[in-house]
Amino acid sequence: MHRRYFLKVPLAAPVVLFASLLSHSAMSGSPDALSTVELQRASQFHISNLALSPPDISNAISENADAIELGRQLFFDEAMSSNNSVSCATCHIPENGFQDNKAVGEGVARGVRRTMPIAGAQWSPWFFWDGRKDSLWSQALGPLEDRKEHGATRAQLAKYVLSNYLDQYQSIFDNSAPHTASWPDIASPLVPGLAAENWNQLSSQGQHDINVVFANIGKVIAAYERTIRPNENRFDRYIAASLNTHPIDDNSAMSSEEIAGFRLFSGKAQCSTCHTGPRFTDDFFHNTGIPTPLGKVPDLGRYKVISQVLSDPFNCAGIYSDAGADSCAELKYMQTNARQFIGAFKTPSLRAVSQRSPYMHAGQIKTLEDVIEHYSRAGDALSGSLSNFNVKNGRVSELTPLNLNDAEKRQLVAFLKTL
Amino acid sequence: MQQIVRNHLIRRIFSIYAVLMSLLLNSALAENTDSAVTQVTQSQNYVVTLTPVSTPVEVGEIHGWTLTLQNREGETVNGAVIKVRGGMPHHGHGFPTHPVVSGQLESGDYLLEGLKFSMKGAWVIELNISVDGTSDKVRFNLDI
Repeated sequence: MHRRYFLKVPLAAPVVLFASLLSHSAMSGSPDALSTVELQRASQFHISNLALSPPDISNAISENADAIELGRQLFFDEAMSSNNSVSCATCHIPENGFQDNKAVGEGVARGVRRTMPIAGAQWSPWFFWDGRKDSLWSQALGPLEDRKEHGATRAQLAKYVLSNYLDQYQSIFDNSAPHTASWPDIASPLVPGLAAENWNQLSSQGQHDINVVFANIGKVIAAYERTIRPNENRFDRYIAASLNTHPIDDNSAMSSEEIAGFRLFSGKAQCSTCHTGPRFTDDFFHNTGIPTPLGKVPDLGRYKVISQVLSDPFNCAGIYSDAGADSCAELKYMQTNARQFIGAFKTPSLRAVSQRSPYMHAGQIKTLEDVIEHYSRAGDALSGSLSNFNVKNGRVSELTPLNLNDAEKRQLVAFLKTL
Repeated sequence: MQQIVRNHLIRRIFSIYAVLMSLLLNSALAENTDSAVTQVTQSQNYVVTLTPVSTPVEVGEIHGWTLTLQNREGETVNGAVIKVRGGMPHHGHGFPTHPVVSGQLESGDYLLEGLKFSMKGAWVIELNISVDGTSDKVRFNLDI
């Protein structure tokens, strides 16, 4: 039994694009132009497929204009940290595509993972490189209490926001702000030492009240982050121009080398197997044999966080979520076979990738050329033991060598630079 | 001896029935390719038909399939315990989700819930079907 399914990748403007496919002629004068079939394949990557923003059922205020504004203010507020000098924007720098071009993030201390870009994140079911959070708002809470990022505690942040942004908070959350007089300045169940001791001395109601405000801080930051969207790139313009929906000009033209790169990307090099759709990601986790940084212990990725996701009080099914537990399909049907995820990390988006060196989850690879070299060679990988994987020296990776020649490597890099 | 011949005949009739059923379904679906698939189980105890609850099945979205389970006589099989496995063998990974068959619908069909195809390519769905302590298997190869 082998049956071909024609699946529809979500398209916001499929009628326009595919109707145009039928009359494709714009680039027909060029011997390098993509064929109708190739253009059909290319159209799945077009940014118009992202026109509709998926609702976040776990965040009731995600489209609220006041929440977006408060979230924007908090995103840039350096008082949201233990040393009054770290905000979300410290690592997610707007002028840099909301990332920092550093191998690992540097907040109040040097972190362990590469800062991820924000644009388009709202479409993802899982957040962080290992997917240990299941919503944009819950993700926003993680760095705030991380000892190497903001280094704050939820009690400090809740008190700070209710002191400095009270009117905005009350307006967004129906005058629900609790009294903070009895709260300690520092308290969190996740921060060892005084913060944990203070947390344990709080009443259950006190803990809950702080958690509600903390979750709401995440929700307003997420509301702002949802407004940060990927930009149209030259490949988008090339597709649209080829389909006669845009004029062809210098901004939409692609060279022979770049077009050849796309053919490799979606063909021999198999990049589009995982880097698929308009965000160039399958939102899944893969072990692609990225080497452990020198002197560091192997990072086992998603393997380590399966139980954490399920027990997180700030997950989609938790009491701080605005969704009913039955609505949380991604969590309900989450793949919990951890062995499948040894050394596996989320497939990152490739939009604007050429502006985001260094690459991989700890910035291990400095240039796009070296990234292509890594995938072409498919070398040794992080430790693991799954029999289905490509075992080398007792190590595993999903990759098999592509054996690309030098011209092909150049073509792939050229294509990636159009994104 | 008579029993063996009879069993053999039943098997033959059942096989022909299954093939005809597949042909009929495939023919009926010729203009609607993203719909049901039918397969006979490994030990030829059952015919299993999977039908997407809604079409088209979208890459990257969690969806459900109706699972019709019939015996050799074409009767609905009740009370089966069905386990789901699968993934992308060529890529060495399983499903991105943990799909389950949690029970039977009023119609007698079962509901396969929580399936997600995270990318295009060759996917496999394997069902282990237990009825009254006896197990049988069926494998669907889908080219997504």
